[in-house]
Amino acid sequence: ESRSAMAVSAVHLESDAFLVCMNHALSTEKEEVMGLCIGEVSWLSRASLQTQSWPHSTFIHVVGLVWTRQVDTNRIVHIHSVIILRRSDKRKDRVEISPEQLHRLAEMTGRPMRVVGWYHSHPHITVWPSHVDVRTQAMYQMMDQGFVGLIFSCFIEDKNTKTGRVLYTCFQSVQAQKGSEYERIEIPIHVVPHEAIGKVCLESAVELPRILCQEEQDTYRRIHSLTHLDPITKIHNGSVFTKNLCSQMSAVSGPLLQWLEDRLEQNKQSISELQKEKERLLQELAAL
Amino acid sequence: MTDLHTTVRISGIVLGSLMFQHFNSDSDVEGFILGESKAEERSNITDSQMNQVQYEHTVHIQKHISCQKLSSFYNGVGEVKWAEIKHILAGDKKENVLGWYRQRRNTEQRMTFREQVVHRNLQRALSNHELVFLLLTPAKASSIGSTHRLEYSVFRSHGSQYHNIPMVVSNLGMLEQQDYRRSSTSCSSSSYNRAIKKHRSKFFTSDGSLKEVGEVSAMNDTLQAELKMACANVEKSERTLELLSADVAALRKDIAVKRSNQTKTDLHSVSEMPQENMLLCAALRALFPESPLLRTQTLTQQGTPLPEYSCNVDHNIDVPTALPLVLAHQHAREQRWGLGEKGRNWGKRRCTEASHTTQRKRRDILETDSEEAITVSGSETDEELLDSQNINLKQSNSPVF
Repeated sequence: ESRSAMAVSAVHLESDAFLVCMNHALSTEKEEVMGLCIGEVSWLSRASLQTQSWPHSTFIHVVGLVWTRQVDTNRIVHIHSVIILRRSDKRKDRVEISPEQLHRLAEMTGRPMRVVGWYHSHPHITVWPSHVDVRTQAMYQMMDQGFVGLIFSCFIEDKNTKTGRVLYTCFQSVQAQKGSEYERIEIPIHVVPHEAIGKVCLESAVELPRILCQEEQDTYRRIHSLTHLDPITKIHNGSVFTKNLCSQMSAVSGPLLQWLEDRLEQNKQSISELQKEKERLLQELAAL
Repeated sequence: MTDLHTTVRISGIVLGSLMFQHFNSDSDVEGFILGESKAEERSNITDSQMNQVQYEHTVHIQKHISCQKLSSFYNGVGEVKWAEIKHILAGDKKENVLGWYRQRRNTEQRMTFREQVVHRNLQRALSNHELVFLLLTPAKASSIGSTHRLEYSVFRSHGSQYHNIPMVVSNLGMLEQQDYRRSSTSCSSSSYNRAIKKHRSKFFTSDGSLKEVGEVSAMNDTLQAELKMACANVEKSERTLELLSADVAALRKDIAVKRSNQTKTDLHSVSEMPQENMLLCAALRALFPESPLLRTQTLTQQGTPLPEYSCNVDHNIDVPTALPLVLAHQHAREQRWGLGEKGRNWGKRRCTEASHTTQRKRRDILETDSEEAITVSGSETDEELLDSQNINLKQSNSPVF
C-alpha cells in the first residue's frame, strides 16, 4: 500500500465555515478564488485486523484467527473557520497575505488551531482538481502530510433541465512510485452542524468586501501613478474604478449587509421565544 | 410578437445561507423566499420585425425565512393555514413574498404531488399567481462521501403544468472588471485641449487625484464600517442565542429526569401499598359478612382472590349513615324475596345444590345478567367459591397457545 500510515481518514467541515467558503466561491464567476482552512486534527486509533505480517508486531492466535496488534493512526481534520486570501497574479501556488490578514491569521491560530488545508473555487469548471491543483496540493503536503484540499465548483447549469448545480470535493495527492506523476486521492468530507455562527466565521465573511476593495484600490493606484496619461484617460480610469467599486457594493457588500440585518432580526425573534420557553420551563421545574 | 423571458436571481450569501440552514437540520427544511419582482418591456425594431416586444421579468430573491418545523403552514391535505403564514412572516409584508422553498436530500428535482397542491393553495392565499417554488436537492456524488452535489431549480405553474425557470447567482463576474487603460493616444488639437482644460478643475483636485474616486472610496469606507457594526451585533446575538439554547436544553433534561423519577416513585408506592377504598370495604362487609374474599384487592393471574390479602380491618364506618342506599336496597330485596331466617336456610339449601352444580351455574351467571343469578352467586360460601375456582383452574376455558 502506497499511502502512509499518517493518512487523513476524513474531514469535518463546520457548517458556518462552509457558509464563508461558499459565499466566497459564489462571489465571482470570472476567476478562481482561494483561501486557507483553519482548524485542528484529532487522531483515530484502531487495531487493524490484517493477515499480513509486519516486522514490529506480535502474532496472537485466537481460535484459527491471526491478528496483529499493530495500531493504525488516522487523522480526522476538523475545519472550524477559513481565511480569505488575495492571490498574487492569480496563481494558486503563490499566495499573497496582506498584513491585516496575517494579523488575523495570528489571532485565529494558536494551539490547537492551525492551518490545516486550503480551498479554491472552480467557476464553470468540473469539481475535480487539475494537474496544477494536484501538484500544488502535493507541495503543501511536503510541509504537512495531513494538509487537505477543498474545491467548490459553481455556476454550473444544465441547459436542458435549467437546473443549477454546486459541487464540493476534498482531496489529497499521492505519488504511485517515486518520480511518477502525482494523482489525487479522495477524502471523505462531512459538513457538521453548527447552528450558531462563530465569531471568526462572521469576521471572515465581512473580510471579503474589504479585500475586494483593497485589490481594486491597489490596481487603480498603480494605473493612476502612470504620469504620461492624458486627462481624458485619467477620467476614464477613475470611472472604471467607480464602476467596479459600485458593482462590489451592490453585488457583495449590499447583500451581505442585508443578510446580517435579517440574521439579527431572526436571532432577536428566536431569543424572545426562547426566553419565554425558559421562563415556562423554570415554572414547570419549580412545580415538580 | 411578444417574448416573455423570466429569470430568477439570488445572491451568493442567500444561497449559502439556505445550504447552511439545511446542514444544521437532520430532516427536510422549508420556508419562504422574499424579494422583488420587476418586469421590463423592451421594444426591438429590426429589419425583419417592426413590433418585436420583449418582456423581461426578473425575480430577485433577497432573503429567506425558515420554518421552525415541517408542515407548519399547511395540513395533511395541503390546505394552507393563513394564521401560521402570518406568524412566520412576522414583520415582512405579504407583497414581498416571492414564493416558498423546500430542501430535501437524495431526491429528484421534481415537485411532488403534495408540493403542487400546497403551491396552488399558497397562490390563492397570497393572491399571487406568479408565485415560485425553489427546490434544493443535495446528495452524495461519490460513494465514500468525498464529493457532494447540490442541485437547485425554480418552478412556476402554467395552468396545471409546472415549468423550470433558470436561477442565476448574482456575482461580481457578471460585469466587466478590467477596463483600465494603461496608455493613451495624445491629441495635438489646441481646441480639444482648450475644452478639456476649461472643465478640468471639476474632475481633479489640486493634488491631481480624481474627485469622484475620493467620493466613491469614502462611500465604500462608510459601507465597510456599517458591515463591521452589523457583524458585531450579529455576533453578540449568536452568543446570546447559544447560551439560551443551552439553558433551555438543560432545563428540559432536568424536567424529564425529575418526571421519570417521580413516575418511578409513584409506581413503587402503588405496588407496595395499594390504596384501599374503605367505603367499598365497609359496604361489602355489611352486605356480604360471610364473604371476606370479596374484600381482597389482590388476585392471582388466573383471577383467584387471595384470602391472605383480604381486609379484616374495621374501618369504623357507619354504613347506614355513609351509604344509606346500600342497606335500603338490601332491605327491599329481603322483603321481595322473603329472605331472612328463611332466606338464609334457602340459601344454605341452595348452597348444597350449588356445590354440585357450581360449574354450570358460574357459566349461567356469565351468560345471564339477572338479579336472581347475582343473588344465587352471592350466597355461595367462600370455601365453595375457592373450590369452584380450583375446578375452573383445572378445566380452564381460556385459550391455550
